[in-house]
Amino acid sequence: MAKNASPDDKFYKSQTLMKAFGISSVIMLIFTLWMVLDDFGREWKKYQVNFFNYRKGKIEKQIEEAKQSLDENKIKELKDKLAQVDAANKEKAAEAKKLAKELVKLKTDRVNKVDKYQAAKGRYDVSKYEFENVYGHKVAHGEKIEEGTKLSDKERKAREALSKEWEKVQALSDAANNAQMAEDAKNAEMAKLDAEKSELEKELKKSQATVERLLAAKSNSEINLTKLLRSAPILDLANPVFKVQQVVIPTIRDDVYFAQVQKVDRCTTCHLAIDTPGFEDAPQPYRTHPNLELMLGATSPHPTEKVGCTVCHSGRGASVDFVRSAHTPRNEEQKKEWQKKYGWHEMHHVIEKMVPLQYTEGQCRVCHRETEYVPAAQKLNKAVQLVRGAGCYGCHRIQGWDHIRKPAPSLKRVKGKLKHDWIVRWVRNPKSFNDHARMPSQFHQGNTESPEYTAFQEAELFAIADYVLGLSEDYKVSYTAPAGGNVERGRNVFYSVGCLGCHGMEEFPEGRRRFGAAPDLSTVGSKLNREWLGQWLKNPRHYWKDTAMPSLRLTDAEIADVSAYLLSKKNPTFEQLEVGEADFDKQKEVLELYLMRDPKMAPATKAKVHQFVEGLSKKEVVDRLGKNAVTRYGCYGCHEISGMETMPGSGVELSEHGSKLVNKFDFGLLDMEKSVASWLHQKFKATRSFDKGVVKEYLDLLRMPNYHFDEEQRDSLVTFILGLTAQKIGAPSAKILNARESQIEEGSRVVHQYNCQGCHIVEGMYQSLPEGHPDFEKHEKEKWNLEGRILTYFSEDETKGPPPLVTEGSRVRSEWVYNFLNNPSWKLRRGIKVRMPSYNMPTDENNKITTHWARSGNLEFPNAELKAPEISGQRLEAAKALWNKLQCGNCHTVGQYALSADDLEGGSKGYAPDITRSYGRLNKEWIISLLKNPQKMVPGTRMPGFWPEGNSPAPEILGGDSQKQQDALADYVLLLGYQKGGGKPVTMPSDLNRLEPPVGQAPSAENTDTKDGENNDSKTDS
Amino acid sequence: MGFITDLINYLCRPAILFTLSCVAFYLGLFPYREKLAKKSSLYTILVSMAVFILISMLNPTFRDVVTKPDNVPIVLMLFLLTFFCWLPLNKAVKNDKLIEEGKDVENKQEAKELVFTWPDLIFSEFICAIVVWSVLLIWAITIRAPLEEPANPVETPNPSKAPWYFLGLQEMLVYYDPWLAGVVFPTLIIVGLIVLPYIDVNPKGNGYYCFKDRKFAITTYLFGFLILWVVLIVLGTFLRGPNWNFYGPYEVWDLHKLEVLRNVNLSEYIFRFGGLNGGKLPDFWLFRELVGIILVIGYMFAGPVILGKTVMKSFLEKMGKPRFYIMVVILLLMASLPIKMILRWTINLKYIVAIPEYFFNI
Repeated sequence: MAKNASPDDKFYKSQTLMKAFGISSVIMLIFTLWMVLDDFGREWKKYQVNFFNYRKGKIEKQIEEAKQSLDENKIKELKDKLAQVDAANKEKAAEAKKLAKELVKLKTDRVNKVDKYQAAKGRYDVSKYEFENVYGHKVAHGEKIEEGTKLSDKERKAREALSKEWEKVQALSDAANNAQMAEDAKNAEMAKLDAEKSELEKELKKSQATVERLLAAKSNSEINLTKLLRSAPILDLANPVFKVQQVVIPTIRDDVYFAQVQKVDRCTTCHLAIDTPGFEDAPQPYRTHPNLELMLGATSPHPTEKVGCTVCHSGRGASVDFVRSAHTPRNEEQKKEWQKKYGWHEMHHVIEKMVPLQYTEGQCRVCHRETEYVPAAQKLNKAVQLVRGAGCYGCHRIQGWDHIRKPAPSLKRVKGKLKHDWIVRWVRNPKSFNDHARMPSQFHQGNTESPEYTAFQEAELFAIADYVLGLSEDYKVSYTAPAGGNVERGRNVFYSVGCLGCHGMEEFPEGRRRFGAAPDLSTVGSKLNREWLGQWLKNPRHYWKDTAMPSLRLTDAEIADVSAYLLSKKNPTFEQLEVGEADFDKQKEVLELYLMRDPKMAPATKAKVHQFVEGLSKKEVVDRLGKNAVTRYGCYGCHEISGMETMPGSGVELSEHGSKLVNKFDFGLLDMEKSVASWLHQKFKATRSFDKGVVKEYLDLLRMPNYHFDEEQRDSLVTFILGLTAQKIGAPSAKILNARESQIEEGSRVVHQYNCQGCHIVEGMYQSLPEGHPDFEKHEKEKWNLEGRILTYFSEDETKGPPPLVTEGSRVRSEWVYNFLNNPSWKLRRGIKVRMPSYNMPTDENNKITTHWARSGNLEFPNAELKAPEISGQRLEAAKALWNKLQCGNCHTVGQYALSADDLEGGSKGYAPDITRSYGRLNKEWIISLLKNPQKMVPGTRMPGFWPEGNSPAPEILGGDSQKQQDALADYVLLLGYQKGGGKPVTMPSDLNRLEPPVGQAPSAENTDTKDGENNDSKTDS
Repeated sequence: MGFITDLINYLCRPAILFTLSCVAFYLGLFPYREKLAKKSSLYTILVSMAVFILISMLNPTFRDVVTKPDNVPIVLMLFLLTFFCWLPLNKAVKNDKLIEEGKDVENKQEAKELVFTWPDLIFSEFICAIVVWSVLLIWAITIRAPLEEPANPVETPNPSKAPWYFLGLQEMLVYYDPWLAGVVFPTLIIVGLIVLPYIDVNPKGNGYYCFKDRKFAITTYLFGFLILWVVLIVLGTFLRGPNWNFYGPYEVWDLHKLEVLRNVNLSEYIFRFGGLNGGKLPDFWLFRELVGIILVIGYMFAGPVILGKTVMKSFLEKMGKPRFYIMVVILLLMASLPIKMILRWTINLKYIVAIPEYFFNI
C-alpha cells in the first residue's frame, strides 16, 4: 500500500511551478494582446487615419484662403447693427416676457390636447378592430345578420357605439389642431418682435458661411479622444469613426458558383475621396477619379452608388487589403514598387483580378454590349476599328460581330484580277509587296524554320495559289477605259476626288494608316492590270457585288488617267522576287500528312495513304492540298472562297476571352509573366513564339498569321479582348438599347461598313475632351484616326473637305437622305473637290442609314408632310430686308448652277450650299438653330453667327426681336427653294447631268514624300 | 549539388521511399533497437532532420512546399512523432533489461510513491494549457490561415489535396478503388482499433512499456501507423504535385509533367499476355475474373486457416479460435495494401478482380 502523502512529498517544487506559471501567464498575456492588436490594426485603418489628417491639412489651407477673402468691413457693420438692435430690444423686454409666458401656456395646452386625441384614437382603433372581428368577417364572408335577431340588435348597438366614439375622436382632433393654430399665431407674434435681429443674424451667418462650413468640416476631420475611443477595440462594435465603407449594388450580381450575390465594393474604404472633387492632386489612395464627369460623379451617367468600382476595374471588391483585393500593377516598374511598398504578390486563387489600368477602357463592354462603338471610349473605339481593319472577326468569332461582311476581297472571280505569280509572291510575304499591307504574313513565320518544314510551307503555298485560281469563276470586263491616260492628271484626280478617305498612298502620307478601311495603293501598279482596274473604277460591284467600294463617277478620261497613275505605282523589288516552282513530291508528302488525319481515310496507315495519293492526278493532289491548307490556315475567314462561305472561322472564339483563366493559355516553354494580358501581347508580337522549343508535328504547329502590329496597336487589341468577358450584367445596370437606339445602332453599323467616317466626322465616334485637359492635344490629333481621315489633307481649312455630319439627324429630311444616297451626284457645295461617292447600296442598307439619321435627330419618322413655307406680307418684306442686310447672298447662291472659277477655287460661293436646295432638305427648326449658333450646329463652319448671345444685328427689323427675325429668315430661305421648284423641292436640271467640280491639284511631289513621309513611317509602322 | 538533389529525388520515389522506410523500420525495431533507444540517437535523428530541412530550404520548390501554411503542421508533426516514438522505445528497452534481470519495471518503482493531484497534476496541466494556448496564438498570428476563394467547379485546385491527416487515405486511392480505399479500409481501421483490446489480452506491458513481451503487437501496430499512415501522409503532402504525379522534394511542380500510367488487370495478364483462350478475354465476367476471384477468396478465407496451421500456430493456440480469426482477417486486410502497392510497382497490376460491368474492382 502506498503511504499517505504529506505536503513535503510534492513531486514538483511549488516555487518552480509558481515561476513557470508566472512566466507562461505573462507570455500568454503578451500574445493575447498581440492577437488583439493584430486583429485590430487593419491596413485600411491606417489609410483612414492618414486621410483624416490629410483632409484636415487641406481644409486648414482652405480656411486660410477663405478668411482672406472675407469682407471684414461688412461683418463689422453687421455686428454693430446687431448690437444696436439688441439695445433697442431691451426696451421691449417686458412685452417679450409676457409673450413668452403665454406661449408656454399655449404649448402645454397643445401637448395635452394632442396627447388626449392620440389616446382616444388608439382606443377607437381597438374598438374598430373588435367590431370587425365580431361582425365584419361575417359580412365579408357573405353571411347575413337576420334582422330582428339577438345578433342584429347587438350589432346595431355596437355600430352606434362605434360611430359615437368616432365623433369623439374627431372632436378631440379638432381641439388639438385649434391649439396648434393658437400656438403658431403666438409664435408669429414673437418672431415679429425679433424680426430685425434674426434677419441681421442670418446675413452675418451668410457672409461667414464658407469659413463656418470649413470649420465644421475641419472639426469632422479632427481625430480627438472621443473619436479614438469610439474606434477602440471592442468599443468599436457600436459606432466607430474608422469603419469599412462599402457600396452595395443590388442590380449587379457577383457569381460565387451555385449562388449569385449582390455586388459589394469596399474599395472606398481606402479610396476615400474617389468621387469627391478637390482631391485631384492627393497622393493615392485618396486621389479623385480622373474623369468624374463620366465616371462616379453624382451627375455623371455612372454614379458610384449605381456602378461601384469592380464592374469596370475588376478585382475583389469585398476585400479591404491592398494585396488581397487583387490590385494588378500596370507594368514591371510598378510591380517592383508595390512589392517593396505593400509586399504585393499575385493572388493566384483570385479569378477576377483587377484589370491593369491601361486596359480598363475595354471593360466598358461589360455593360455596353450592344453597340459597336462606346461613346467617349476612344481607346476602345480605336481598337474596334483596328479589329475591323485587321479583320480579327474573320477567324475568331466575337459575339455581336457575326453579320459583318468578311474583311478581305472576295476570291470568287480572282482569276480575272490576279496572276498566279503575283499571288505566290504576295501570300509568301505580303510585306514585301507593301509594308502597309493588311494581309497578315502566314508563311515562314518562325516555327517552320527547319529545311523540311520550309519545303512543306512552299508546297502548301503553291497549292493554295493553284487551288484558289482553279476555283475562280471566269470574269470578263464589260467596260474598257479609253487608251492613254496621263499620270499627272490621274494623280490630281486621285488626290482630290476622295480616294484617300479610304485608301492609303505613300506619297500622301498624312492620312495613311495601317489597317485602314481599304487597301493601301502605294504599289498597286505591280498587282493589277489595266482592263480590270478600269472596270473596277467604273463600277466596282461588277466584279464583286458586296464590295464597299463606291463609284466616284469618274469620266472615261478620268478613269484612264487614274488607271495610268495607279499602274505607275510599282514595286520593282517585289516584281523581281523569285517565284520558284512547286515541288510536286513535297506537295504529295504534305497531302499525305493531311490525309493521315482525314476521317475518311481512317484507320489510316502510311502505306494506304501513300498508295491513295499516288493514284491521284497532279491536279487532284494540288486541289486536295490547297483545300486542306486553305482550311487549316483559315484563308476563308477573310476571303470569300467558293464552297467555304459559311464555314466557321478557324480561330478560337473570343466572345468571352477576357474571362478565360490564365492557366488555360498555352505559354509554351517561354519564361515570361503568366498573365492573360502578357500572353496576348506576346501572341500579337510573335504569333508563333509559343512553339519555340516545343516538339510538334507539322500540322500541329501554331498557325495564327503575323499582323506586324505595333506596340500601340497591340495595346489596344489587348484592351479590346480583355473587355470581352463572361460577366453577365442585365438591366437595369447594363446598357440595353431601346427601340430608337437599336435603329440608330443598326444604321451606324452600315455607316461604318461603308466607311462614311473616312470622310465625314460622324456623330458619336469620339468625344472631344474639354480644352485645357492634360490629354487635350493628343486626343485631338487622334480624332482623325477615328473619323474624317481625309480631313488630314485639309488641316489648314477643314471647310474645304467633306462637311461634318454633326447634328445631321435634326438637320435633314429623311426622304432627302434616302434620295441623296441613291443619287449623290448633284453636289450641294460645288467648291468641295471631294466627291460624295455613289455607293449603289441595297435599299435596306439605305433605309437603315436614313432611319439612323432620323432617329438620332429625334425626329418624327416618317417625316411630317412637306408643307409650303408660310410667309407673306410684312414678314416677307422683313425677311428680304434681313437677307440683304446680312448679305446672305454673298456666300449662298440662289439657284445658280454655273459658278466662276474663283468661286470654285476657294471663293465663298463654292462652299456654301445653294439656298434653293434647302426646301425639302432642311428642317426649319434646324435652320433656326443654325442661325442662332452656327458653330454649335456645324462645328468649323464658315457661316458667321449674326445673333451673338441673342442680340439682333438689325434692331429696326421686326422690332429687333431675334426670334421673330430668325423664324422669318428660315421661312424665307425655304420659300426661295419652294418658288424655284414650283412648289416642289428643286430637282436636278436636265441639262446638268454632270456637275462635278473641277479636279483639284495634288501637292507637288517634293514637299510630301520627304519630311512627312518619314514622320509618318515612324508613327504608323513598327 | 545537382547529383545529390537528383539522388534524393530518386530515393523519394514512392516505391523506393516505401521500401527504404520498411527497411529502416525493421532495422530500428530489431537489430538496432538498443542503439536507437539511446538519447544520443534521438538527438542525432532530430538534428539531422532539422539540418536536412534547413539546407533543403535553399531550394525554392522545397521551401515553397514546406512553408505552405497547410504543411507547416506536418513538418512539426515529424519532429513530435520522432520524439514520441523514441520515448516509449527508450523506456521499453530499459524495462526489458529490468525484466530480464528480474527487477521491477520503472513505473512500478515510481508507482509506489503517491503525489498530490494539486499541485502536482492540476497545476502542471494548467501551465501546459497556457503554453499550448500561447503557441496556438502565435501560430495563428504569424502563419495566416490558408483560405481560398469560394469553390469554383470549373477551376478546381491542382493538385486537389485532402486535409493533411487524410492524405494517407488519399494515397491509398492510387492503389484501390474508392469503395475500398475510401469506405471499407477507413471503416476497418476504426473497427480494428476498437477490437484491439479484445483481441490483445496479453497482460504483459500493462502500465509500462516493454518490447520483448509484445513483439508482434507493437511491430504490427507501428507498421500500420508509421509505414501505412505517416509515410503515406508525408508522401501525399510533400511528394505529390499537380495531377497527383510524383515530384521529388527538389523538383519543380510543373503542371505539364507526364508519367506513364499503363496499368494492367490480372485477367489481361492471364488471357492476353498468357495466351489463354487464344489471347481473347472471355465475354462473361465470371470466367474472365475467375482467377482473381479465387485468389481474393483464397486470401481472405484460406489464408487465415493456413496461417493458423503454419506460421501462426502458436497464436491460434494462445488466443483461441474466435480471437485468432478476427485478428488474422484484419491483419490480412491491412497487409493487402502493401501487397497491392508492391504488385503495382513491380508488374503494373491494376486490379486483381476487375468487373467494371458492376463497378466492382479489387
